[in-house]
Amino acid sequence: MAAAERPGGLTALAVINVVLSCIFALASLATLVALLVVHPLPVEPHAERPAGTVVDPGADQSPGSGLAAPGADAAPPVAPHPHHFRHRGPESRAELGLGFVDEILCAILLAISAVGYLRLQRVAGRYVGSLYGVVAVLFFIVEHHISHQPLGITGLIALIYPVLTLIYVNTTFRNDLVL
Amino acid sequence: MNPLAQVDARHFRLLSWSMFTSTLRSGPGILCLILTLLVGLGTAAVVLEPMDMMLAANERDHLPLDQAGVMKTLVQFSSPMVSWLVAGHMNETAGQRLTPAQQADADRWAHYLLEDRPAPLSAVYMILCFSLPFLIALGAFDQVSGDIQARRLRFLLPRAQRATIFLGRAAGMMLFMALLLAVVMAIIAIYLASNLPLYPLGSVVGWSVRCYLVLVAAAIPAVALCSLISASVGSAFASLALCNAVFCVVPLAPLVIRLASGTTWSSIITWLLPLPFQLQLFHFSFWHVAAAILGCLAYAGGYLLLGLWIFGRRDL
Repeated sequence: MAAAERPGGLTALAVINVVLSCIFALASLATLVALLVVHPLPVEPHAERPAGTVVDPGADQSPGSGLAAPGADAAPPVAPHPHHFRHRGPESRAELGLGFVDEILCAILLAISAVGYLRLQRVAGRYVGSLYGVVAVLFFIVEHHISHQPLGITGLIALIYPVLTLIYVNTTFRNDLVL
Repeated sequence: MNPLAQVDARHFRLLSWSMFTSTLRSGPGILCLILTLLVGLGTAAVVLEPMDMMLAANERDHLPLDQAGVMKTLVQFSSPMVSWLVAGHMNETAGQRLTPAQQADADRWAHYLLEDRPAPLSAVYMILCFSLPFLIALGAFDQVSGDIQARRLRFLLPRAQRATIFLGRAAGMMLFMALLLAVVMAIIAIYLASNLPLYPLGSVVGWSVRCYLVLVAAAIPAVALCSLISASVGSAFASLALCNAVFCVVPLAPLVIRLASGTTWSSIITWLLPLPFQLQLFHFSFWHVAAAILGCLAYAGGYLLLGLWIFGRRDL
């Protein structure tokens, strides 16, 4: 009954929601791995390095790798730039953590609203769909604020679907999502 | 009897508006809307991001180049490419060398697009112009074919003439695409005017409005061709496949035939669509642009009349 009365646009939105939900779920897994494994807490070279230890510039330049090179007495001490690692780690972790929360939240909201669209439900469809739009826009603003990056046109592309969802579920399909 | 004489103005308005609102609510309409926004903004990102990156690199490395310097570098880099593109367009059939006059015309054209007008907008709108038919096919393939397939048009036929139904739906689809293009181009123009204040606002707005009219003129024949195919094929899926096939095959077939057999007659195929003169829509001469717009409208008229003829005779 409901399926027969459902506008084709709502079915299309539901399919897009399912696809995006899967993409967000996979992305959240990748972000979680990055958060836990690939991006451990960075170490400030000045604070962690024992006295007398020097860095071989050719050996390892990754953050936190303040290992002493063999025969390092002859090598000139290389002092990293004081601002090189100091603020980068916590901010990156904050961005990653925020990204993870954003992705997992969007995945859940998109999946719930997809079911809501298909069943023409007011709460799961219209309200949760609107919530997804608001959450995605808010996270977008916060992430840009934290990363101090100017709003590029690529960022606008990321806003297309949340804004369209907000418009569609509250105007065009408002009277369809009533069950 | 003249089929256009059967068109009732009130029914035409009603059917156009109904087509517009139903396209907004339909799955193909939503897909067309999302993809057009994605392609439009994606094209703008491809064109504008390198400039943003160069500006960021300049700022990071304390280089003396400002926005104008970066733009000048990019324009110098891309000018030969654009000149080659428009020169190839002038003489694509024979593969012969350009005459000096043609080469000078091509260089002037490239200069007009890149230096007299906002270069990023020119690049974005030209790419958008050539990707437009594929986007239109996604939204306009099902103007009447789905209803023919489901036999729903018989409920409409006692109230409205066939010509009114066919032309009303085509007009509704054209209205949808015109508004969609307006949204996409407004976003791009506002972004360029606010983030890269290299060009005077009047120049950005003027060039955007002119390119908008040009893109609408380029979109009208594509919608009309989709109307023709939709009226000819009694299946929505077949209509979608055929629309996309025509928009893919017509530009590519002459190239493939020329490469395979070395003959040049195959370029006649491109005249099935308004492709041979589509780039003239961006020409510096007003008369070239006017002639290209008239050509597009003539193609649209031809497609619509043929579609009307088929739709008026087929079993609904």
